[in-house]
Amino acid sequence: MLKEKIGSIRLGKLSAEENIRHFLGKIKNEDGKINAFIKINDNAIKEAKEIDKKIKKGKAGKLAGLAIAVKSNINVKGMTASCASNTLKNYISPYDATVIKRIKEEDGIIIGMTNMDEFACGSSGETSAYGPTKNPVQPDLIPGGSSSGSAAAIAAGFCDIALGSDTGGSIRNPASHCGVIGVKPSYGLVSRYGLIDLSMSLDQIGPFAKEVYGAALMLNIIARKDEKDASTFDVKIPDYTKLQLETLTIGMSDDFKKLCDKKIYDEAEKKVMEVCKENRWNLVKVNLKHVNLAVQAYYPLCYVEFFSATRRFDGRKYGFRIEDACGPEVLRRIIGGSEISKAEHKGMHYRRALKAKELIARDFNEAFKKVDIIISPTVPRLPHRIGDKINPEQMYGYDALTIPANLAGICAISVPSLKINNVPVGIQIMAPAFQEKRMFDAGHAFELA
Amino acid sequence: MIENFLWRKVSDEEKSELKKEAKQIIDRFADALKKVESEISETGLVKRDKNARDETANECDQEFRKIFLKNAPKTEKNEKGEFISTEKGAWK
Repeated sequence: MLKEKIGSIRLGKLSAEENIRHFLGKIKNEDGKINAFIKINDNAIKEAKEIDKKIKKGKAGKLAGLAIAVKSNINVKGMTASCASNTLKNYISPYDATVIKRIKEEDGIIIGMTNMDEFACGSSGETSAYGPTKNPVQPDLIPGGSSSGSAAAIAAGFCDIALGSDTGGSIRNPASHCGVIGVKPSYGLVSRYGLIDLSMSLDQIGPFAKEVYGAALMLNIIARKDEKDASTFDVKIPDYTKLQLETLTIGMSDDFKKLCDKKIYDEAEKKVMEVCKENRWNLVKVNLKHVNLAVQAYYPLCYVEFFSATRRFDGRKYGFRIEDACGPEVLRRIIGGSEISKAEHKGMHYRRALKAKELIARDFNEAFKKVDIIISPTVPRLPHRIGDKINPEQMYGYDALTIPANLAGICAISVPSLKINNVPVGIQIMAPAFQEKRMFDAGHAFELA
Repeated sequence: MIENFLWRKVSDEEKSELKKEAKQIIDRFADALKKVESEISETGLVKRDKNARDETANECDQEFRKIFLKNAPKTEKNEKGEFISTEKGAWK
């Protein structure tokens, strides 16, 4: 239990150095089979010793001595931020992303940079130029993506908390497949400064942890307005870690049911009904009639914004020219984005997608007038075997249930709640924008069930 | 044709296949989104009234405008005032 571990570190029963040495040993012995990390922080033990001195003086921060793994698209000064691509394989971050600065201010120790789908383009963890990440629960299966290494690192017990980024489900999807907690914060809650973007209007950095408490603790540290990211909001941040069991009205939607494997949806619905009964929550149906357009709206937006974001990777200032160094999925998105940009004078792609995005957001706004939270399974199907043949639209379908939250700008958490064929299946809990406290409280109820 | 999603170096043949495939995907998605055209107008997206552009131009912060024009590598003037000249074709 993380809360108890933090207490032990504060009381000197466990040193930061011991904690870090434990994880480094485990990574050394076991990560060869998982491939969760791309780079380990060589200074981690030195940093832990410094933090131990602060702990002894009673001046340590809230994350003192904890091992934090970071997705390879977030800048950590002195570490590689390769985005799991040959394009940036030699790129060393010259600065800390805002989230990293805040973690360091609270004495968290960055243990290493995790594997991911190349430039976050993927939902399976297979598109990394460093080789696929394996699912620690069943290593022949995909762990999900794109934050594959961060989810796997938590599931394998390689760190205390990890950071990922979520554009259409890249935190929640691997959290579901690996059986861990994953949080996509509301758009504008967490600074994106220092995140190498996939789609800037949708990206959010968020935490992975074994328990809701760990994710809540991390979000409390990283959530705040940042002058370096104009899209962040100045909202009141409550203490997310004070988890309570509240009385809630829960919404489920048949519009999600239509997008989901029947067995997964039925089992999830059964679980939700059980939890509602236990907690005396009211369960009602809500109408989200445009969510069936989420995938089709998301990809044009993502393709174009990614195409635009990658124009800086021209090999002149750093790295290699992306089109010469990347794998097929990244290239497909660059080509797709370029095609849309060329054809957009007809307004068929990007403008239509923006309209669908707005309709989806309105559906959620209406639904949240009737309910406190909306629940669905996190991923509509079980993970495939690594290397299995799968077409792009099937792959994009993995995110059919997670994309709507990104398009609507709301917050969502995946909590491991079921096992089907011995594979973990997460339940997704969505709450209105900036209602993360309510989302964590509901997540905690599922955790206890 | 792409077999799976594992990373590999992209051949020229695969590159042209990807181009074809990307175009098919975006066209299919655009077709699926056709129905939104009748459900929402563009004004709902950007929330501006008919004359918003002119009004905004009239309300422009003059200090901002001055600095902005000073930053620009090339400006020109016409009867409406000074403006930034970003590109000039051989036809002019």
